[in-house]
Amino acid sequence: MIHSRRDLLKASLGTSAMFSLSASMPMFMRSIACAAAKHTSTDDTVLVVVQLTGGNDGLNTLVPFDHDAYARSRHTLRLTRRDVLAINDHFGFHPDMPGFERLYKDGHLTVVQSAGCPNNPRNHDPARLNWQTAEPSVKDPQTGWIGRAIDLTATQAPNRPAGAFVGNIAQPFAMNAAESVVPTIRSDGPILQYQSTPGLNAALSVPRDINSNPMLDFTSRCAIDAAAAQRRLASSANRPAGNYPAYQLADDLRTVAQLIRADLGIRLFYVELGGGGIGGFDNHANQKDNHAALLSQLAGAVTAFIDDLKRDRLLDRVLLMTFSEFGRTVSENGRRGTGHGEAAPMFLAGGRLAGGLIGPPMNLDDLVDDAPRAAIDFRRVYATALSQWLRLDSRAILGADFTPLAMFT
Amino acid sequence: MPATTHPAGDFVVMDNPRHAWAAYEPDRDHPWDLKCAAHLYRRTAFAGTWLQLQQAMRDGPHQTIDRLINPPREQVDPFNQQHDLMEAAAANSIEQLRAWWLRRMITTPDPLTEIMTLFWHNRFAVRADRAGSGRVMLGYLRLLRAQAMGQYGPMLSAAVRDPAVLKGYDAEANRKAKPNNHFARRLLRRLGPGDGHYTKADVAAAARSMTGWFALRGNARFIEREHDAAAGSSDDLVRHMLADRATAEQLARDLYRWLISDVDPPATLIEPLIEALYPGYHIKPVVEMMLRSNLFFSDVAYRHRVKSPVELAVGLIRSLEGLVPTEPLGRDLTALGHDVLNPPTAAGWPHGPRWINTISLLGRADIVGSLLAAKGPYEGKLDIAPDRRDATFVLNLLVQNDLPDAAANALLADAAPDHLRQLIHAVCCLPEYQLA
Amino acid sequence: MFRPLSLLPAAMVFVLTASIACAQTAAPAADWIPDTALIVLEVRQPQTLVDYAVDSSLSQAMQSSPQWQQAKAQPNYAKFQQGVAFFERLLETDWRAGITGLTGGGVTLAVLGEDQVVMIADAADVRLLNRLHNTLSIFAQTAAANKGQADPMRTWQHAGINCYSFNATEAHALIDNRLVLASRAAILERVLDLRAGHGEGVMSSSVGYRAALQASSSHDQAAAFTYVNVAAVKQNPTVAAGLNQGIDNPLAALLLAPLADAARQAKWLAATLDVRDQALSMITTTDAHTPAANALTSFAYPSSPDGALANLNTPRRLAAMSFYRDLHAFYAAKDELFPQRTSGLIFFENMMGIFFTGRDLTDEVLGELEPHIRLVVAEQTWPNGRAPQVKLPGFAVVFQMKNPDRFSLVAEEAWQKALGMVNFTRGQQALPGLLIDRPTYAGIKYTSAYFSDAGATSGSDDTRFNLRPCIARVGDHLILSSTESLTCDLIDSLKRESSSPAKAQPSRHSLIEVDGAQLGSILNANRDTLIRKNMIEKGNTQAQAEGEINMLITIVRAIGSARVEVGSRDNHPQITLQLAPAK
Repeated sequence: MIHSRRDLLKASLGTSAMFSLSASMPMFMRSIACAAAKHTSTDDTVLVVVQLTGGNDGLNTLVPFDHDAYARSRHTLRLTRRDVLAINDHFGFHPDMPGFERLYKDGHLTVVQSAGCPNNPRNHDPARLNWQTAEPSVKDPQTGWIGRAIDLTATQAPNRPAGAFVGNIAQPFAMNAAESVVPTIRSDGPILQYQSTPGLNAALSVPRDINSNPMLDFTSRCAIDAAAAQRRLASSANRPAGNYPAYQLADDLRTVAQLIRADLGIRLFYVELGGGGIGGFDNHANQKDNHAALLSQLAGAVTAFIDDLKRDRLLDRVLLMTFSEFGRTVSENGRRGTGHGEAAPMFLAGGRLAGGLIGPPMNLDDLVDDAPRAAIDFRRVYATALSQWLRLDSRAILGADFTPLAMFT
Repeated sequence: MPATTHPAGDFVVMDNPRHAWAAYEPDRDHPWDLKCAAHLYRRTAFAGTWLQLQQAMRDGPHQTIDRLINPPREQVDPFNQQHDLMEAAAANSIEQLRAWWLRRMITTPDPLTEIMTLFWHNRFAVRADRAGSGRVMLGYLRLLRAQAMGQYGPMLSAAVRDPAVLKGYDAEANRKAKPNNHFARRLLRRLGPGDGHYTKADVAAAARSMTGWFALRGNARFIEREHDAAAGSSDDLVRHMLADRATAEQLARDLYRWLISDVDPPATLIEPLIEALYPGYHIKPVVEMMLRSNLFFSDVAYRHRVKSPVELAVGLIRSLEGLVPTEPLGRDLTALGHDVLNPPTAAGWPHGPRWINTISLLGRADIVGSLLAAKGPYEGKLDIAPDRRDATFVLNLLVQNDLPDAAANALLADAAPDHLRQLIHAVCCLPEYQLA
Repeated sequence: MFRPLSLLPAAMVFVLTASIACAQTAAPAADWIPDTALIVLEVRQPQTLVDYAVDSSLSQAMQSSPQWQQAKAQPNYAKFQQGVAFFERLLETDWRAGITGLTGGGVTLAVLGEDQVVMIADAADVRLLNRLHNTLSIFAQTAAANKGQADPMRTWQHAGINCYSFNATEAHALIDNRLVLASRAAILERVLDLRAGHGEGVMSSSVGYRAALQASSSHDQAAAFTYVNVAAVKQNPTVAAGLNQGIDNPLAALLLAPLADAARQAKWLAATLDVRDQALSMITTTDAHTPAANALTSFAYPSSPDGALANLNTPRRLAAMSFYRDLHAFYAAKDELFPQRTSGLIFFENMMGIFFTGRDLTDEVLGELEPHIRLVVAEQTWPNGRAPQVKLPGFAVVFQMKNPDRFSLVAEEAWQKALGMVNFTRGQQALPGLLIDRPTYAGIKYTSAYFSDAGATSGSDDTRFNLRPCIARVGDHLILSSTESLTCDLIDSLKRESSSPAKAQPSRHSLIEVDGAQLGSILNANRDTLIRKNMIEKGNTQAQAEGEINMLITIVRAIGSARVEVGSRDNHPQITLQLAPAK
């Protein structure tokens, strides 16, 4: 028979020297008995980050069609006013992004122009790492900014997963967390499909002796939650899920929408477009058609996702944000492509956005090594999403204060 | 009938370290039973097979612990020899190296060494994707395994000059002109005395001790002219770290979390462990003392450690005496956040209870379901032995029937003799099974 | 258990049941089968196929393997053997004679839908058929009586014929020497209605079936003939979805787009199977048309008499492939053919842009190549026994250039730039790089690159020594090869061709040849690596893994040579497969 604590107590000589075990329990486990049980997540806001791997050509996405420098520098890529989906007298979306044009007109899309990273290394891996860690100056960084946000969220509701990566490449470093486990969910994989049996449900619902073992108490509550979550997930999966095109990103966003609908409590999602590695947006050669295809996938998938959420009245809880490690050069190279650049627009989509263009337009008259300078530090956008959308302490996550942007209604 | 209660009553435990760490002797009030044996096997061998548990019941705690700590060399040596060869041949690929490590955990006759290798890996926390190659990573794992139950000093001395550690700690080049304070801080923080027990000056001195060490083409090299002659050697640094009692304290606390409980103990319980460690840092006697203790067999420890995904999967496979494809297993465990060659941060994997949340439990259920499925990546290789097709046997083997009566009955009522895999799956989804 | 092996007893059971079910009436079986059937399989010479299944060198090799012996020790095999013995006692003959007696007139199997199957067998020996029926009836009666149950056999008349049924999933009738066996009573009745000349349309008058038969008429002596109503099969949503799904991988699109296109178009598919002198051949045809000159997949369709060139021969060749692919037309249609912009494709284009100095990949690079592309895979030899641990075969591709004098230099420059890039990248990772050499072989100056073995330590990764990449020009041919020995062998082959040019196989766009013995040889050379891989991929013990790999090598060796031809005949896509036994 296992010794009980009382046994040890009885055997003890110095009974005066007792200590409370609960005092040494991990902080979060103390809170679970009350908080975890009744926390409802239906009011929680959700952030979906879309990584565009390879360095997206912002000038070919939101096109400054009437700018001389643009027209002069782009021989095979140049789009004129007649080509683009103009949103004002100077800018228009790439012709293959009609979805973005519609979202923009409906006020569901905000563009942060000229966002970028100071001291951009113009090299894929380090540049991407800067965006993923939001700590450009830290040597040997250990966590990503989403990972830190997950850790912070997890202290409020330890029984619920705060974040998940949805995709079929290796989990990006942005999700790396110090204290939380971040799952990878594949849209085509078997994850989260197990079916509970009546016997198991009954066995789970039998109360455990909560005083004897706080670990068992915690695990037991989570197991009951998990079984319930699985049932919601199954019914969410059975619903017809919007009109998504047949692309990986669309599959991944459909899965995200299912997970939001099933109300598992995940507040931070991360998906990727470009196929990992160096990335599909790295168009050094033959950019025209290749980039158009990716932009069409981006706009098609995001629009389907927004429409899907809107139909289910979930859009007001969701903010989607795109980023890429850098923009591209204004000039074309000799291979009908573009080189690594600096600033690029970030796109935000959701139900509570004020819409419109934020920040100064890409300035083609003041270039640094052939690329427009960053005018908005990307961490200001992160800070806005963290503090004003997720209601998290952005200073704790980003390590400094960054002035938020006014982008919500 | 299943006894589910360990009437602890309130959250208090006596503060009698001497008794807590004294060797457990079974008596009328604390008999040696299946639960004790299974608890011991979970902590030292991922899980016990039915035969092992039966043998342990007959042999009693002392003899069983003897066997787990000193497994028969005539089994261990040939196994290691064979496995080392296979592993070395596969080390060109990180994914294959990971698969071979998981296979070693499943098949080794010396599982405690693997559990301790995992312990050290969690402490040193070198990521394979930073170490650069499978071969470098293999060398590092061998280093940890060789000293897993040995002495901390030699392990640390070798580790700070290991190419995997140098690369993994972002310290490929330690130049005289530019000592690597970041590297030094990582060493002192996690492997030395820990935060609060070192100063900026200590960091600077440690960094200077490491100057001259480089990782070049997968090998560590000492370049004399890059070494700061005014500073000590790397061995001096290690001696300095070990001389600090706080280093022993941090190690003792880590061992406590690994072997006893995820709930941190009061300082008084740690003190005897520090005494046992300091100053020689011999690991085996301390592990032995912990495993034999009253505390280990008390409900302070019983089901007070959350199984990591690797422990859950390897434990289940060992219980069922199966052998599964470990390449897909490595991938599936990675999706659950447990890529066993890539600890997420310098601090290793998250603290035990962090493994548990709504999604992770569903993910665990999926892995177990997939392991037990008749078809799929695991090829239906995991099943209960044909002569053991009995529902109560499953409950005894996996949870020693230590469930609330109503829970056990609900599972048994649902269990069809032809669908014991379904019952195994259900048991693996119970909160009790997530705990070691 | 090794999977393919476990299928063999199942296949034999099938042949057995086929035979139990079966013999020779005037009307062809297709007159009795509804025209809505999805698949019709006509085994015209059952004995030929049984002989092949049992006696061919392939099945002999399998049967003599230890795995087969192990499988024989399984309880299921014993049951199977009991079944065979029971059958032999019943018919008072050995099982092969029994099958011949019961099915000698041919067997036709038709699939009407899920779980809806009918089999029509014509016995050569009608007494055997009647004996089988009677004995089985009595056997079922006795078995039921022993359990105190009534006779399970239900008997009734339909369209003037006696029908029998043992259970809900079986119904049969005997008409002269013909057995009709159906998976449901209703299906049996449908067949009998058709026989009586009323009810729905029959297969033998369906347009598709007749066209399929016509298309295969040159092989009307074939041992078996299959007709698939592809249009009906495509009604299945999963099948339709699978067909409509685009191909993501550009290489897969290059190889398979013509087949995928044919599958999308086809209304029916016909296949004939024949065995001659231990060699098995299968010819598959559909009604799909070869695409028009401006169609998406026209890049793979030569206009006669052009076609894929005869394959190149080299020593130690384990596989050779010859394709007719207009790469220029293919790449120009990439947005339709493989719409996904994967990271790998972008990387490829970026690199090609660098290697070819900004030349347009479609017009200025791929446009320089003739549509004749040949690949050779051959085992390597290593001097002085210094073989790397993993022994890769050599790979080579041979292009034909339109303007060899100009383009060979462009290609050479691109190749050297690629090597420079590889060396630079490897240097960044502190990995050894390649040294370039310009040797001459048989009067041809070519470029090769090799890894120096200075500083290589034993036990380190030596996989790189598999590679000795080369580029060579022979006449208007361009060789790109992973190894130097294969380059030299190809120079020899191409020089021989300059005196007697390779013949184009008219209307064939793909010719694939595999040599089992040579393939077995390279598998054997990598046996240890394969075993290790098997252990972690399949969770086998070392002994199990060794068994599976040995079995694989045995089978591959026994396959002998395989040859696949894909192309068109009379403007319809056609695939030919030939398996010749090992010599």
